Amino acid sequence: MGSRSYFPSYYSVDDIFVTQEKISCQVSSRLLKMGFLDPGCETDHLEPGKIVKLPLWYVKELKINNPYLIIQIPELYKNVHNAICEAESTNIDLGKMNMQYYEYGRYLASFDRNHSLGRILYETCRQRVRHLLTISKNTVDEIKSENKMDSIERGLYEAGIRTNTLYTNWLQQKNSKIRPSELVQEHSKKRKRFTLSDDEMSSSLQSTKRSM
Amino acid sequence: MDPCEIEFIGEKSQIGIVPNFNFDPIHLISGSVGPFRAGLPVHIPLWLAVHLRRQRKCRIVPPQWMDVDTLEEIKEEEKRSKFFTKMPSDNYMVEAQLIFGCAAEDIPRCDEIRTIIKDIFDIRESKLRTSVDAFIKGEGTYAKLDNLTLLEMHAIRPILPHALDHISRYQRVASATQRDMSSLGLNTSNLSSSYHSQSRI
Repeated sequence: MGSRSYFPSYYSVDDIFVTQEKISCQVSSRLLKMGFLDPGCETDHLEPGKIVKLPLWYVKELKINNPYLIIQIPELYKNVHNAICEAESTNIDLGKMNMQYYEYGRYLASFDRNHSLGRILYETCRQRVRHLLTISKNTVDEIKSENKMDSIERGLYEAGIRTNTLYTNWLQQKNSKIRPSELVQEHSKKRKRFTLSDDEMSSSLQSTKRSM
Repeated sequence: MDPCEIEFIGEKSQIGIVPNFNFDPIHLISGSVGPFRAGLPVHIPLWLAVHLRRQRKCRIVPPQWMDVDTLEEIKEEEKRSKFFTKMPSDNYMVEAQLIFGCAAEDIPRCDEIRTIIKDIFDIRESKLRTSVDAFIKGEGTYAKLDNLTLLEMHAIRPILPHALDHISRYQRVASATQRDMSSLGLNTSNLSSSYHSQSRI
């Protein structure tokens, strides 16, 4: 996460990671010639009642009341976990449950027949962000590996710690030099890369000419 | 924005100095500075004042608000008020930091002033933190933060807007699913009411 906030888009790598997750779906009507979807299936067709695992990028385009597949919400978002989330959400280890807990849940929320998932995500996020603001304010040292966050929270936490470190450094006058902003640095790096690749191109061209 | 950049912005504010040399006006892009006459106070940008002070070519006249009594008053006001009070300068932390860094001996009761300014900053920071916490907790839709200075905003800058972005995204999901449920609920109630009317007939 850079200076921009995270928004899922077609090109965002995080979003691709999230939509790679497999979700078990129950087949509700006979699907002809679809046996290859289930490696353990011996027939060419998928019979009703079978459970297949399909990636989220396919499942998320389905309607909740489609006639072919019933989407099963993963255990992760089932009642037991939700009860914990409601009770004390700052203590749970989201990272261990799923690194993309929020985003994954966001896609699945529309398939939740109890209509509670969206609400729980929202409440959990709200409570945990408040906690996050406090802890990121009080730590200056490097990020510890065992803190229990998912990827989005980690991004926020790192941003918070960075701000805090910059501020304490400024108070103690540790770095009095103004460095070029990140944008400018990135740009100059890119330019260097371009000129490098141009050189390589020309040299390779020359060598091919020589060989000809 | 880094604290260094905020410092750069803060350095543009004017400050009084008493030079100990004679010099013609200096013409800069941002305007002319001077002329300097030895012993006569003159207002110049802070960055130039710090520079001259480092070369021992002037004495810095502390800004009017940089006084123990005034600052005590501001501190009391800040403690009493629920909201952020107006600060005497938009970059009070930066100015204090720079002046104390190079010309601590020009300011009477410098240590006391330093402590009070830090106190004021801490009070405002904790106030900001509690109000942010209350804002997220209370499901408010907007918050008004007047009289906040740049450095104070920096303390919450990338993390708070980003966090609020995420929260609002999940809120939208929650309200969308909630709407589904309420529409379902409406349908059932409609059904039951129609059923009732039928039964009455």
